[in-house]
Amino acid sequence: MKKYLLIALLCNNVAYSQTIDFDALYRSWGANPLEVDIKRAQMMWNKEIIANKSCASCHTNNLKKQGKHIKTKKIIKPLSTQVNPKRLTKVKKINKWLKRNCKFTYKRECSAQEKMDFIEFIKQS
Amino acid sequence: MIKKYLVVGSLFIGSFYSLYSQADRDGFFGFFGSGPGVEPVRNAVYLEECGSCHFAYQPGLLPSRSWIRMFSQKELTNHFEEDITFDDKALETQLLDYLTMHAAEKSSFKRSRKIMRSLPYNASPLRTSDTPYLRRKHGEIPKNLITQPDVGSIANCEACHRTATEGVYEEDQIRIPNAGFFNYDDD
Repeated sequence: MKKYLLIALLCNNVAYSQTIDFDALYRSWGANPLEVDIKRAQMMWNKEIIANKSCASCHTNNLKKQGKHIKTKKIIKPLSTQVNPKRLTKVKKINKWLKRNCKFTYKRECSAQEKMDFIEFIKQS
Repeated sequence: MIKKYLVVGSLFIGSFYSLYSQADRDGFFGFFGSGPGVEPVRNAVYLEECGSCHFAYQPGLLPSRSWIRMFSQKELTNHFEEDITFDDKALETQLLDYLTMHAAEKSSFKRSRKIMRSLPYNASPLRTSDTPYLRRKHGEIPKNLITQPDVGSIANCEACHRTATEGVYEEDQIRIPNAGFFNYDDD
């Protein structure tokens, strides 16, 4: 019995210990974690490099609230980790959405610096 | 004598079935293994990968040749003006497998069969709204009701078909936002 409890506890531990090492992630992109600039991400958030397309046009200006895809009208769950703890828990998803959404919004991929700024901006929102 | 009745009887049953399969609304769907609409999506990967951005269109809304075309590199790099190429090739194959295995021509559900029946053999549309059956079905709706902010486009099934996620597109489940006195009349 004790053995199973221990195993269960260990499994639990594994499931919850999957916190991302963000600094390592930023370095793997080629960014320097010491150069984080949340203000820059904040400014980019509303910037329409392509007309009528910015981060805010789908995710709104309040990251604690749900958003809506401008084209498909699909509801997007809040980005803020405070109200949506599932956010920023999987590296694969972070990479996928940064790539896809930068291409959607700016017609180009984001630089390592931009990506790092965005993630830190979302983290503190 | 009995043989004669058997022949006549089976003819009746045969004609009944062919009429039934053509029928728009059938009271006892499921009788011949078919459902009322299209087969609902029961695939978590598909719901996650495709349904995060848009309505998770049921695979039975298009033939497999359409899905195969949609998953060509040319179409993936320009998926309705968006680049959605997969980094994970295994995932790409997994999704295409699901879509082709449940595609319209393999489905016994009513709407899938109707879509297939209306579609020329050499047509592989990327939009289910481009199939002759669904074109006809949506033909009478005024343009402004489709382009209004609450709907956006004809691709937003859920905006009017309240049971779209379950694969049910019956007329009595349709609510067009701000439709006023416009009455959807199913030919």
